[in-house]
Amino acid sequence: VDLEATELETLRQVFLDDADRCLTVLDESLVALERHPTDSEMLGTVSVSIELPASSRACGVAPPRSLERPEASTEQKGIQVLIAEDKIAISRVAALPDPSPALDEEALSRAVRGDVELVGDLLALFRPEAAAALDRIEQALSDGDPSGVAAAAHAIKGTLASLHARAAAGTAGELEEMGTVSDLDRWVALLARLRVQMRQVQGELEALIDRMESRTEGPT
Amino acid sequence: MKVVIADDDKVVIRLLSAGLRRSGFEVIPAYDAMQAIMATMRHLPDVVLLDINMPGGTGIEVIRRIRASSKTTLTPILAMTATATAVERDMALELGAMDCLEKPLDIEELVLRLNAIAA
Repeated sequence: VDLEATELETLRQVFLDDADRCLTVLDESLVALERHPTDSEMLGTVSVSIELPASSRACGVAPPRSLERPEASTEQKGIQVLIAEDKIAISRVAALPDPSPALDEEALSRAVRGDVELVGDLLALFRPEAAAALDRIEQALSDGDPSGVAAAAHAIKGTLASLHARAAAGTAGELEEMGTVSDLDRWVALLARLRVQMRQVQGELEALIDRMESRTEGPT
Repeated sequence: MKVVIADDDKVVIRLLSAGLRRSGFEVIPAYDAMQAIMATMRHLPDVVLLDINMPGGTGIEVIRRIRASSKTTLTPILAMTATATAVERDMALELGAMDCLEKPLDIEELVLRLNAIAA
């Protein structure tokens, strides 16, 4: 379909907004599903989210192959990040392989040099900091306080960068640089994305600790 | 070699402290601007590793205070930030920081850097 650049941008924005809304619902649904695994309404919501990649193709804004191999080209980056996150979230229910790890495990492992106790400490420190940062950002958004959002986002960006969680640090950076609250939907969408990414960072830290501990214990 | 690490981010302090202690450094953590100033005055470290983006922009104030004291005016300061804008970097350097490093800091590079400062 031939579209003008402005029409394409509008379409892209519609998809981004839909994807973010969908991810927010998905995230909430996953929490509920963990508590009530047989809830058919929740499963229905998750299945709607699984339609996201198809909707992106319908929009003509993300070629199918990008779902398998996300590339970092500027114009498609936002869309691909969202799709990747969607797959990550879905994978928690459908056991699909994670398309893009939240942590650069090699870099983090180099920094901690196999010290599993240190990773445990980092996780214990990260949990409350992440929750507090999300609360602070949400509160600042409710108050219409862009400098409050920027300050909270900047603080957690440093934490995420130090954990080598680049994608989440990038999202925090986007929040920090939004500047004004005129585009509230975009703020909310970024916050939803950050929430999903931080949960994934936490999950990957937990998994890393498990792997390190099992290596330390060796075969039984 | 004594290093004060000043950052309101506990994850950063834990990570850097572990890396530096492994390499034989004595680390004194400081979690806010006041602690950073007090630790520097009390312990007279060989280097201060300082986040300049602590809440309220107090990292810059810490540099000013360290420079203002005759006991610590020559203490080397390495600034660090999650995003070093040109303004922040210039301000930190203008006030006497040796450099402004961007997080995440590579421990091995940091160790080399600190050893070079000590040499």
